[in-house]
Amino acid sequence: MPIRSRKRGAGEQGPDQSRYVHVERPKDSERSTRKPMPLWDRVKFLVLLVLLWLVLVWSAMANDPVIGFADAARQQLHAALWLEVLIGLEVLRQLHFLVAEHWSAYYRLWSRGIFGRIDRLSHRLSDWTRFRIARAAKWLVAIALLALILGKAYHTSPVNGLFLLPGTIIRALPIIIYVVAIVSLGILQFVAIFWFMSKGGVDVYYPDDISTRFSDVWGQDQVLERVKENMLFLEDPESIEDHGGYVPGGILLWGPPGTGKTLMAEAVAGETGKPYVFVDPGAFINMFFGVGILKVKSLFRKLRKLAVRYGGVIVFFDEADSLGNRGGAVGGQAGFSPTAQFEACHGFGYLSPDTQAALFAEALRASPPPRPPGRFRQMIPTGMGGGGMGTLQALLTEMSGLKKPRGFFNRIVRRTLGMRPKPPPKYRILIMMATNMPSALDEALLRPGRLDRVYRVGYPSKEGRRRTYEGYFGKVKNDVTPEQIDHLATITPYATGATIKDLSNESLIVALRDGRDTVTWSDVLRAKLLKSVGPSEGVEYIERERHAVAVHEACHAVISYRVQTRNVIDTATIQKGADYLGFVQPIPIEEQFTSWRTEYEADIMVSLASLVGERMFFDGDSSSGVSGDLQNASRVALAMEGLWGMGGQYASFAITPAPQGAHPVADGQDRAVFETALGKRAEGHLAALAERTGTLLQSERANVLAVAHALEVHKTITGEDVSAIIDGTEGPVVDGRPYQTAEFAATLESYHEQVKFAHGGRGRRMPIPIPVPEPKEAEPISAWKKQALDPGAEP
Amino acid sequence: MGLRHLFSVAALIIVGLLATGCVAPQYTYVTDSADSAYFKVPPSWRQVNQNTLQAAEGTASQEGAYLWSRAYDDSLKPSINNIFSTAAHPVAYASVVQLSSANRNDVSFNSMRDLLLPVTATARKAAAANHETLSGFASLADEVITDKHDNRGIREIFDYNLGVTPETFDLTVLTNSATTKLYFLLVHCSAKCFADNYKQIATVMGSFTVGGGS
Repeated sequence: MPIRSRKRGAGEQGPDQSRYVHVERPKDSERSTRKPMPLWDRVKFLVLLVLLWLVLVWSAMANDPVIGFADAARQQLHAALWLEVLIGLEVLRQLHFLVAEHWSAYYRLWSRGIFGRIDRLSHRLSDWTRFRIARAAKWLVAIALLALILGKAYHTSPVNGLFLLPGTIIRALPIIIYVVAIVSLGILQFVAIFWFMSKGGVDVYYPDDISTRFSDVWGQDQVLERVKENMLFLEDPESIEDHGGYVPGGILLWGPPGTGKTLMAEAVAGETGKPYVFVDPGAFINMFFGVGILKVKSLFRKLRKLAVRYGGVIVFFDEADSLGNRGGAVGGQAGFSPTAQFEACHGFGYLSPDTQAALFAEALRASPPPRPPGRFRQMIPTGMGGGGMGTLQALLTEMSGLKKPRGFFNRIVRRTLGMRPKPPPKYRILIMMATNMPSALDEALLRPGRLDRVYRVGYPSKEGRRRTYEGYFGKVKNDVTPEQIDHLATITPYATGATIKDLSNESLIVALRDGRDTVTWSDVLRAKLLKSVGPSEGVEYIERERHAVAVHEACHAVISYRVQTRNVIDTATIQKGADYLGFVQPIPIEEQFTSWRTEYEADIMVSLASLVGERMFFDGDSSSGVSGDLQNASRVALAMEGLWGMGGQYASFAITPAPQGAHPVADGQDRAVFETALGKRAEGHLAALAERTGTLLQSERANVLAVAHALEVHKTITGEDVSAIIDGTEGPVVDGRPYQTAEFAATLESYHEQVKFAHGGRGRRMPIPIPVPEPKEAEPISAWKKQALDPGAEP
Repeated sequence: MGLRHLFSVAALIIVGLLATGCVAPQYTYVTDSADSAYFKVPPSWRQVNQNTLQAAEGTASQEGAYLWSRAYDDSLKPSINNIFSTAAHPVAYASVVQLSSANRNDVSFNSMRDLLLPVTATARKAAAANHETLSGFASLADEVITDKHDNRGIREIFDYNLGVTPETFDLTVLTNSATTKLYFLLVHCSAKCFADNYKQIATVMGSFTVGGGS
């Protein structure tokens, strides 16, 4: 409502008061006269009618070149009497308004007396009756107008004109059909295009089309049990419906790639006695607006048909994240809520709801704590991908709209005949979705009723991995023992069904390359090494650098061997790769879900071993190759102090805001962190651990040189070789027994001295041969082992 | 807007309507839209009954079929007799004739002049030879017309003694550029009447237009 303001003189009120005073507009019911009308509202119809008359005059002049304007105007005043009547009525109306604006008694007479009475009379009728009367009146007016026009057009009476109309329409039918055909042709092109585009991307499999069974899915038993349960309900819905429940309609399988989600869905397809519909992830990515919606609709039409015909149907959306979402955070679903990032034994469960909410909000902002190094990193969800353009909404509607009456006959014809529309049959549709980005799914998709059950298909347990290895190795001829399989499962903690399948296949390829068709344990190790390290770059170090790198890695390996209790060394290598000179890769012995202070300290010692060792072996000199090790050590030391309560303070720095994706205490933005008390405590902790590492390395000097020698000779050795060297036993690649003799230890020490001499810049060009240990009752290292561990070397 | 303004607007509209509405058109406009023939007559001239006219002239003349005809009479009792005989008051008779293909080649200014009555010397001789009792011929004006629509034709004013007093005829005959149609307008009355009403008759004859219009 516009606000009228009146300007007041400065003298009327004090200087601090507003110069404008709002004048209240009276309500219509409070008015004694009619509200004045703007000029345009007064004259607009008159202007329109006069314009109409001028058009008629112009038309008369155009039709008769003899007539002038004045005579044409006079002629039209006589001819178009209706126009004058309308103008007269409009003038009367305006006069009526004008009087009502100035004469309150007149206004009252009309507004309350006449119109008020009519209103009161008409409101005795119900709204519905009034609506029907108004509708009938509108029809009558429309028909009367049509009759008048037709009467003029046919030069006959209006009523006669109405009866002549059907004849004209029938005569015009060929033209009408022609026009409709042309229009239809245009429309049909689009219909055809959309029809063709709305097909595809959806495959239907009938029972026995797919041979995968539940017995082919290994290591995901608990999820499999739940999925089986859903299938049971689908096959025998009465078992739950008779008790007042309903068949859960949707399952979301989520988890890292390769963990067997699609395989599980395939197994469902193989096991079920119902049709199985596979929806391609790309099915809803379309060029044209609306095709996705058509696809969803046609998909569900198909599903309903199949469900009615076969008593149930399973539909599987692979890579469901392609359906996209509408922005908005995902939450509330157990299993992948942000709280699950916290590696705590109780999560937030023991806290009050308020505290949980606060911590939850913080957790969304803060980055996760450092995770164990590994191939799998946290997936970053992307929003608004894929489907879009109403496809998702259409899917949501279809998923929850299965209980509405459908069909033209059912809804319209039955209702016309006075029958109630039939409720639809129970469409038993089990919707399965799989994704590795659950946070990219729309929240509405995950609500119970659409996807009732959300299951995490995680990395398989050790037992699951063992069974998976057994399963895949069972398909090829092999002489790998159950103990070796068990060991393999231990040393591949993040293996998934896909990587296990790949490893067994790679092992077979290694065996076939050697001309054998039986996979041996060594083939498995070679394949695993190839998979984890990749082929070497084939770079040859110069001797003194090779020795330095070997000593560096040997320090890691020996300290790891001595202090890390939860890990064993998997591989140690000095083969240069894309972004490393060499590495020692430890792997956990058992699955463990908590980490302890001593374990973190051991980790730091292993990291610091390289720097401490280099200084020790090269008279205080050290290389830049330790940068990565120091980063790891610093990060863990800071986290121990600031996050995990493993240092001198209780408070957690995780509550301080940090940029997205940054470490809460050392985010790379705050260089001053090491100048703080926290940073200084971390530094002190590192120094103490470095001293312990130094002491340990002093006592292990001979072992370090021994492992370094083995690395120089073999480039890559296994963890078992490291143990063999230190314990003086025979390893799979390296015979460790000579290393424990005093003579060879002295030889190695002398070799080291020569290299150190060269390292110091003296005798740079002097070749230094690697000393060779005398083989003890040698079972020489077989050619294949050399080949396996150093693919670049000649067998 | 105040009351005064509104009243003035309303008064203006009403006066405007009355000014144009109470005065009837100054002429009666006669239109043949199909053949694009137009002329106007004073409102006192009344139309002769169309059925009588069509019955009198028949369906076709010597030149071809009548497409359209109208007749107006200034007397209080309009009659077809006044049109085709002597008239004490001015009468107007207009027609459009579809020229048959055989007649198209015969159309000439002379044939136009002789359309209703023998005007050229040849035609008058022929009429005399046929013992037609026409006398007192006097040509008062003869004009050849070519207008902006490429119509061509003649205008003839002449006297004849049809009864006891001389009768003056004012005839305009036109043909379109394709020579498919013949248009004519004839106004006549006694010589005295013609002289008295010459200004009015000249306006009627001057308004005769072929072509134009939409």
